[in-house]
Amino acid sequence: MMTRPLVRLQGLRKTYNEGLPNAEEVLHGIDLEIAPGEFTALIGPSGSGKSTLLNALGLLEIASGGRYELAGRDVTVFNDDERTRARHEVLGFIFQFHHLLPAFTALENVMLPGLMRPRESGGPEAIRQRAAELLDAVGLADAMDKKPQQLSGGMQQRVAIARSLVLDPRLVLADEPTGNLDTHTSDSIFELLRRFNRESGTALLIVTHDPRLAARCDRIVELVDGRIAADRPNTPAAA
Amino acid sequence: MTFGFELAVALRFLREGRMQTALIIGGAAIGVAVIFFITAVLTGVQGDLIKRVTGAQPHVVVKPPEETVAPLVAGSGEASRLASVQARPQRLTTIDGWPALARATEMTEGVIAVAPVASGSALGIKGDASRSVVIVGTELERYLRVVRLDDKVKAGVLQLDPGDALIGIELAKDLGAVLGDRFRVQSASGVSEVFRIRALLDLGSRELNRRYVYTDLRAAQSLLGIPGRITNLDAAVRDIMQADIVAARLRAQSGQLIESWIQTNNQVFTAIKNQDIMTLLIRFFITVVVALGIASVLVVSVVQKRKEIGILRAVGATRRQMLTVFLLQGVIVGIGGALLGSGLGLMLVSLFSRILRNSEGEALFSLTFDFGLIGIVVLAAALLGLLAAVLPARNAARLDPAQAIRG
Repeated sequence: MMTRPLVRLQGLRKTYNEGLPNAEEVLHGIDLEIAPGEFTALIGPSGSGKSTLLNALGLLEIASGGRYELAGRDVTVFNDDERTRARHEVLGFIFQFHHLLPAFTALENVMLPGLMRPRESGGPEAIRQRAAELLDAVGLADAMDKKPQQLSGGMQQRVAIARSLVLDPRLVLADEPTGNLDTHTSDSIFELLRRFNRESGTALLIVTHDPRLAARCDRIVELVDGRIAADRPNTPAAA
Repeated sequence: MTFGFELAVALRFLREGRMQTALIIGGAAIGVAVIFFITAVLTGVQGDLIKRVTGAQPHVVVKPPEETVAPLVAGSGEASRLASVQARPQRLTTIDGWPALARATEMTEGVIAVAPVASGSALGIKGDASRSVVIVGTELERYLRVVRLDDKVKAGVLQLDPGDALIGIELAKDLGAVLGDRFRVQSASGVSEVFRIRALLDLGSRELNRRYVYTDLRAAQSLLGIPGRITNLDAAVRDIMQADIVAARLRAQSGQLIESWIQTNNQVFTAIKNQDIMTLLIRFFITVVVALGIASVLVVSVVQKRKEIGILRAVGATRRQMLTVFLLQGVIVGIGGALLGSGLGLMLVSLFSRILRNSEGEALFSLTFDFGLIGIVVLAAALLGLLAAVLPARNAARLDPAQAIRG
């Protein structure tokens, strides 16, 4: 790889219920590198450990063994506050069921990550502006003041995408972002992700069941039974 | 450190849980209102009682020591011993050099006013009627600072020139006298003098109204045969509930006999103290119940908002921030409940001040709008809410984001 990797996993293992009789190792030593700006699909059958890997990459789960370097720092030794800060500074999340906060408007949902540390993010006004720009970019300029339940599933997912990008993360982790959307909506969401990847150089790791979507990524990593079964570059077919 | 984010989330969470929030603020409000109300009622009832008991009485009375018989014991041991010591019949004892004692008493911490009194029993006579009376001779101006007679005047004016008297309304009736009439007072030693009735007083109890005759100090002195001397000093204290402490202080610095109203009305005082303890207990338990209510609603709220807490944590909220979000909810609920409860309490007080009346038909308590008290209540409720929120807030902070999001 030419540039220094954004993510470097070495022998990463994850065991649930560690030390208990029902202990179960889900990831059996994952080696994986992700370069800045890469657009990667993570595929694999259910129960192969995709979500666990995504959570480990997202610092939401603590690895049971192995090493994880994120943006040049060994995050396996981080405490909770350090992990939280790293999530905030480096990562963006898009969850399968969009997971917006129902009590906040679309605009506020996008602003929330910035409002947690407003000074680092340039102050509330700058955050509002950035959030509005992103909502405009995902085609929701008219829906900014609507609450999530007033929006369609596709619209909600667009808000979630805007939220994941509001702090200019270096890596966005997307867990089946189009999983519960119809084909047409799912295509447009995917295009949006692709566009942001091109325009801002944000790396994306997308967990997907949809081979059509995977085929449109630059790289496809396949996970089977907690091991990487295949890792190949892919030339996306023109959409 | 700003609470912008935490406060915004706390407020939204509360607004989102509309029903829950309304219920718990309502619960806290009722608790606060009840505390407010019973405090007002108790203060009113006790105030009325104390006023009634001490109405025409000074808070503290300084008297000369009782005369005792000193048993004569000659030598040590074998000499004659008295088998029994008989108490001496008490004469009218007086205080000599009272002006100095009055000054010393007035200077004592807690005492606000002192008046000299020459008091003793006599006979009030008008025509065929004669009644046993208590003569209270004093310097009116000083006495009014010790005992408020001005609100007890039923007729006439408060004035004690030589030859003037202020008497209880029942006594006037018994003697068949009206305002302006003259009547004679005769002491046990046979001295008698004529007084003109300048005012009729209602001293708050039948017994006092039937017996009291206030006169000029000099007139009483000559009637009682103690010229230049007095029988006691009457004093008022700043805090009536502390009369005992002031009495002890006076006792320590003078050789006189000191009686406080608390001593002379011990049952009343004990009853008041017991009431205080009861209401303290009630208030304490109401507080505990309100705190438990706030805590339980927030515990449920944390469970309901698991997913949202997980998302906020995932996108960068720290544990401390989640802790603060829920602590703030407790504080907000506490403050909201206190404000609403204070209003409700004031309404209850104003309503019941019209219904609850004392035996004279006066309102038992008055509606005093005490902003200081409301401030204290709000502050205390905020603190209570904070404490109640500690447990739920810790639950929220400890949530594992990955598990919370998974649901």
